[in-house]
Formats: sequence, structure tokens, C-alpha cells
Amino acid sequence: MDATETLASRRTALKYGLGTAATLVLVGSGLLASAERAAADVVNAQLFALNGERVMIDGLVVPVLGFGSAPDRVEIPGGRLEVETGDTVNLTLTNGTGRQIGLTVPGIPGVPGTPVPPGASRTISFTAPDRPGTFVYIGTIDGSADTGRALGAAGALVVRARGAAGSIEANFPGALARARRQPLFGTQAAAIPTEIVQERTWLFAELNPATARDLAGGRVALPSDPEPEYFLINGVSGMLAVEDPATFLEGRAGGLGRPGDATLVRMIDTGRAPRSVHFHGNHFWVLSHPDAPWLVGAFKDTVRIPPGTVVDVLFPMETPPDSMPVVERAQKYVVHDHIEMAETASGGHYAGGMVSESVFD
Amino acid sequence: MSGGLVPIDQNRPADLTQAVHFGHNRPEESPETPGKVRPDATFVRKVFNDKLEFSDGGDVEYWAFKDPDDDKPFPSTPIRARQGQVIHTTIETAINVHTIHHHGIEPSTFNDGVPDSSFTVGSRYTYQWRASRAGTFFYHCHRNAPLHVQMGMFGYLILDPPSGPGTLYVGGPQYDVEALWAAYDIDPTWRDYNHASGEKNAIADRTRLNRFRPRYFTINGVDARRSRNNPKTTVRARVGQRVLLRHLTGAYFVNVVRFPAALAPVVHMSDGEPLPAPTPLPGNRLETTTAERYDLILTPTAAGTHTVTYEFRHWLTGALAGTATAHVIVT
Repeated sequence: MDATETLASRRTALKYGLGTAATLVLVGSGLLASAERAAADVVNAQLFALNGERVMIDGLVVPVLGFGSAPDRVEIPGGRLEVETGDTVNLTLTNGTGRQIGLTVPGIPGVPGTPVPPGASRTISFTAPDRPGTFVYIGTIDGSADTGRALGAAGALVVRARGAAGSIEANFPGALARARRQPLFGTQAAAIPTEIVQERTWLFAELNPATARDLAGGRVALPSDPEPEYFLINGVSGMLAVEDPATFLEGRAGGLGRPGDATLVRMIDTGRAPRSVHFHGNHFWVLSHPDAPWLVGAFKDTVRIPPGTVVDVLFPMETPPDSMPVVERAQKYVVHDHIEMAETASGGHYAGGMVSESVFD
Repeated sequence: MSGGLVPIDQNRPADLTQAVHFGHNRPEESPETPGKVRPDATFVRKVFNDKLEFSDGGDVEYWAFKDPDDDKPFPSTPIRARQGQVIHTTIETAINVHTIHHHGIEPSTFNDGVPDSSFTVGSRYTYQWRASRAGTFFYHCHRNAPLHVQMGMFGYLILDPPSGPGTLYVGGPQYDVEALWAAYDIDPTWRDYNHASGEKNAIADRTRLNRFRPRYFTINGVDARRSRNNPKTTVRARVGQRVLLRHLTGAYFVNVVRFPAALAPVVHMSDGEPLPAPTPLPGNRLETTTAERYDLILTPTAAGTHTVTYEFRHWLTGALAGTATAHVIVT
């Protein structure tokens, strides 16, 4: 399978797998040697802690330490671990680095954090929560989760409602009942999506090359001063994030006030700064918010994500309502962090930071 | 069926030769507006420069937009129209090249004012859009946005329901007095940059747009010591009147806004849409980041000067960096 086919298959799985579980199993297991599904309620997966390098958007090479789904390549971020509520998760962590590597999942108690020594392998078992939600697993490096986050050792953990991946109500109880919008132009009733057609996870991370070199060289404590130089979504930034099929949104547009391929975006901030994520083209419904639950059900265009937390939103992919005239051909819009420093790379190169796009077909 | 591990990172080889020029390799144009129709409301916004002065005797340069008949406002001259109207916003760039993005307005890509997906305006362009919502929005330049927004190139965009000012949205609450208070922090060292700083080679030209270290903390460009009787930061009301505060976070640091209990703040809208229900602000404390808007109705329960305190917290450490104030004087 060449790279193009892999991408196409992945996107097919993402787009259609949610509605039809069988598709996801077939495509997913054909694609991923590391993930085995032994039983309906047991998820087995392998993570390989590895050293590596990443080329930033301006060509700078930066050391990373992250997780691969295979022993021969590091992935930044680590793969998205998809489970259902109540599943037993068996994660086999193989440590290919010279450091002590453990795992922590904030918000999920009972994940054994005992580090795996260099060269060793251990299976970490835990039970997925009964309540669906979006989480992040973070590698601890010599006991430090901050070091893990700063070097790229993190990935999304998605807990879906059992057998109901496309249901907003099952995955975000109460959010749909709260959802609200005003009539278009003051008079025309407009719809609110009732199900999730596709989804993305966005893992936001900051990177300072000097810090990364220090940390990769053995330091554990983070220096307090320096501003990050690179601002990444799913490990990439700027035009690379705009063109990254795991990151950009693409779907069929609905009509005026009618949702198209409504897209759940699970936004995870692993950085030190909050994010202020602004979508152009459509407002989005807030489905979860860690410290302002009164915003759940609000239809916003910009949302604050406190550092170390998750905000889930639903992007309706409806015809951009202020278009005049309404345009029938494909449209595309940027989405970006509005804390503008995070739109840069190595001090400038706007928009080389946390930016991607939504494409309305 | 449960799940498994799905790789996000495809480790694709990247062609970096163009990637770094994303956003500023786009054409500079002054095209005709596609599908131009007769507008219900028109606005012209011309770019200008001036200075803001502070209570410590310091001043900084700012860039902003103004109605050609306006003097030298800060923030930029507001745009105010009604829901349902077809609107033309004409930018006269006058100094260098810019765009107008109507934040929270969702027009066609061509009219969105984003260089990455359309174009920067060489001299003049008329953005065309139709207001589907009522609420509080803002407009800003989207070219080299970290710098241009920090330099002050933003202003309020208010869309009243078809009935006009006095009602927040169709079926929404009414108000008697209105305050437009935009939080704005200022790093004077960024004034040494030029319009294109950092667009091509930030390291070579020593541009550090990731290093924002503000020295002034303001509401509408007014620092705390000058805020008390300044019309930009003070409104007057009687006990029991409803004061609509249209808050805009123009700051790059995190704002924590603290309201005295005597103002009984209730949040009705955010970003141009009503909340699921009017919400008494928990703890009378609002935490907000860049570009968010919140519409609160304050109903003062006692006479006196009630001061709203805006904390500006460091974007990375959360440490308190400075405060600004605005006031409701109640008689």
C-alpha cells in the first residue's frame, strides 16, 4: 500500500467508520498491525517509546522523544487510542530509549504509572471510564510528564459511547438539549446537527528547540523563561497542518442553516499556554468545556482551551451563512489559534504556527 | 467492536520550499467584488497611524482603521448595521497592504479577508456580505496578523436585530445603556517592526513575534490611572437600569474580568449567539482569551462608582502582569 492509498483508507475509515462499526474494524485492522481486537470489550495496542528528530517548517531539525505504533518510527503525536466506555485496555509499552518511560492519563484513575526501564517492555492495563470523553496520554520521561509533553510524547485517548459513536447525546450527554442558535436573518429557522458524521482530534503542542535539546540531552526540569518557537497541531504547523489529512476538515456542505458533514473536533492542549481557537466559515457548538460548563451548548466562533485540558466542539459544515451571494462552488476557510504569538514559527513566518483549514465541498 | 490505535502522524515527507511562505506568498490585488449587489449599508475604512499616550508619560504608535470623516479614533471606528442587511465594507489601505476580516461573520472565502485563502488588498476592495446574526463581532486586519492586530488594527462590529439598537437579538433582552469595552495590552517593542516584519525570514531580521511582553494594559487604549472619568472607560446609569456590556478580548494575554457583585452581571450572548440560557456569571468572574466576545447585562443594585477590574495574565505562566479598569457610575 503506498502512501496515497494509506491516506485515502484512513480518511475513509474516519469518515464512514463512525456510522458503520464494521468498516472501521476491517479498514483499521488491515491498516494497523499494532492494534489487535481480541474481544468486544478488550483493546490491545502497542506503543514504542523512541527517540527521533523532526524537521520544523522552516527547516530546523529538533530532537523529539515520542511514541510509535511500530518499533521503527517515532510518531508526533502518538496514535489516537480509540476505545469504548468500560473497555479493558492493554497497552504494551516497549521502551526503545535510554530513559525511564512511564504513562499518565490525566482524568483516568488507575493507569499504572510505573516507569518501564530502557530496553524493557511492559503491558499497562486499565479500564476505560464509564463516561465517554476525550483524554490525552502523556509519556513521563525520568518521572516528568512536563518533559514528555515538551518532547512530543503524547497522544489522544478517545473514549466513545459503546456502540453509539455517531450519537451526540450518547457521547456528550445533555449538550444537544442545551444547544441553541438564533434564527438566520432574525426570521429563518435554522437546524442544529443531531449526529456526528466525522471527527478529528487536534493535539496542540508548543516546542522550543533549545529546551528540546536540553531535555533530550538528559535535563528534566523545564526552564521557566523561553517563549516557544514552534506551535504545532498534530505535530505539524502552518501549511503542513493545512495539508495534513489527519488535521484539516473536509466535508460536504449542507445548505443555509442546514448541517452537512457535521464534524466533531476534539481539541487537546498539551502546551503551557491556553489556546483561543477560532474557526472561520461556521460557528461551532461547544460540547464540553473543562472550567466553564455554562458554555456547553453555546454556538461560538472562538473558544478558550485552558492549558492541559480538552474542549470538544461540533462544526456543522453548513453553508457559510453570511455569504452574499451564496456560493455553490467549494469554499475553504482557515482555523487558527487567535493568541497570535501561536500563529508564528521561529518568531515570524505568519501563518506558520497553529493553523489549519476547513474545506466545504 | 471497540477500537485500537490509529496513527495520526503519517510521517509524510514534506516539501518545505513553499511551506514557510504560506500566508504571504499570495497576490496583492484590488479586484472587483464578485456578484456585487446594491447594499443596505455601506462603510469605508481607511488605514491611518497615530499615537496612544499613557499616564506614565509614555506613548506608543498605533495603526487602525477609520471612517474617512472620523478624527483619529482608538479603537478603529465601529461598524454598526442591522441583521438581514447586505453590507459593503470598503477598505482603503492607504499605507502598505492590509485586509479586513469580519470576525464571526461567515461570508464567501473571497470576502473573508484572509491572505492565506484569498488576497491582500493593494489599494481598495469592497467586501460584500449579508448579516445573518445579531450580536457583537469585531473586524481586524488579517495580514501578518500577530503584528497588525497588536498594532491596533481592530474595531467593533455590532449587528443590531432588525428592530435596531436597544434589543440584543430577536426575542432577546432589552437594554438602556451600552458600553463597548475592549481589553488591549501593548508591547512597545513591537513598534520597532515594520508591516512585513517576520513574513519572510524572522531570524535574519530579528523579528520575535512569539515574544510578547506587554508594558501597558488598557481598556480601549486607556490605562487604569486615566480610566475614571474617561468616556471610553466609564458609563453612567441609574439604579435598576440595564447596562449592556459588549466585551471584546483584544488582548494577547489572558483576561480575568472581575465584576463587583453590585452590578449583578448576567451573560446573555457570546460570539454573536445567545447562550443556552441567560447565565449569572459564576463568581462574578469571566476568564477569556483573544477574540472572544461576551455580552453581559449589568443591573446595578446600588448607587456609587462600581469598578470592573481586568486582570491580564501571562499567556504561558498565568502570572498577573497588569490590570486595567472601567467603571459604571450609578446615580
